[in-house]
Amino acid sequence: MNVNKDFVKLIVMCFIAGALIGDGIAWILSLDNGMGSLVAPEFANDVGEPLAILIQTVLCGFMGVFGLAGSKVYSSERFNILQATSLHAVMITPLVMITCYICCWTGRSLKSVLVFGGVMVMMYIIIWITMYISCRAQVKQINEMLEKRRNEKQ
Amino acid sequence: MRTEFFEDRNIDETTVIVHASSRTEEVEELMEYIRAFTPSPIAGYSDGVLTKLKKDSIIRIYSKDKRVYADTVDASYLLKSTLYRLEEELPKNFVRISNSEIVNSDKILRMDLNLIGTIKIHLEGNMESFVSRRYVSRVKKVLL
Repeated sequence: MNVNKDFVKLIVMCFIAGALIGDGIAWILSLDNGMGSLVAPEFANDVGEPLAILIQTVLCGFMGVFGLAGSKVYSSERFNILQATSLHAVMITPLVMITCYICCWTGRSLKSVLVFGGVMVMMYIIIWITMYISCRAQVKQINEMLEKRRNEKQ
Repeated sequence: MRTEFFEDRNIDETTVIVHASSRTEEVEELMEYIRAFTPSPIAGYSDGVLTKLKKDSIIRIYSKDKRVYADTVDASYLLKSTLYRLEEELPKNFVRISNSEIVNSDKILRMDLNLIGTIKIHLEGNMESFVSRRYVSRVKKVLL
């Protein structure tokens, strides 16, 4: 019962966080054009601003759920760094690309959406490299400690 | 021979001090006996035979198919306990490396990380195992 309650709480929190982050970023980006709007003008023209805001908020909320709840793969023992990063990328990248296309974040062209997807993949490669380097440093430190121990015993 | 007990809550490790008029052979023997004493050894079954295992002889303790085993250089023993309980009872040199395994840090030879991010641990007795990323910091702490 408690597990279910905690799970629902996590999902709701991830949804709210995703929606706030997504809408917040969209708003900040629109400030650059001097507009201060929550949605791209192209998208607002297509479906009307209230519906555009609703769709974008829901999609960003889903990204939050998949992104933050999906980060659990990193703490799972079943996956190594490459598997966890790949799995997370597979879960998130298509959703982000679809959201990007629907909400006209990079203009409504396949090329710009693919470029956006490429940037996402690059980000995941950086995450993997960063995690690998951090883990390697820890392993190196442990091996040095073991070596020191052995030398002290001799 | 007289034995006395002094309680001191500030002492972390039980210390036995032998008072004698001189360091005789008997005193040496007594001290050697005390040094070799292992409190509450772990009992394990190997080929159906119950054996008392010295904790410092254990290389790793792991669970497999809902059973818990302890490996020494010579044999593998089936234990009648849970990993969680053993983790509480074992001395501080034993460290958890994954949800299903505890190793004796004195028996660790080295650790390796491959490119895909799997951490392998090499132990005495030609044993190998895998370390979960979230337990790496625990291993480091034990070795400090």
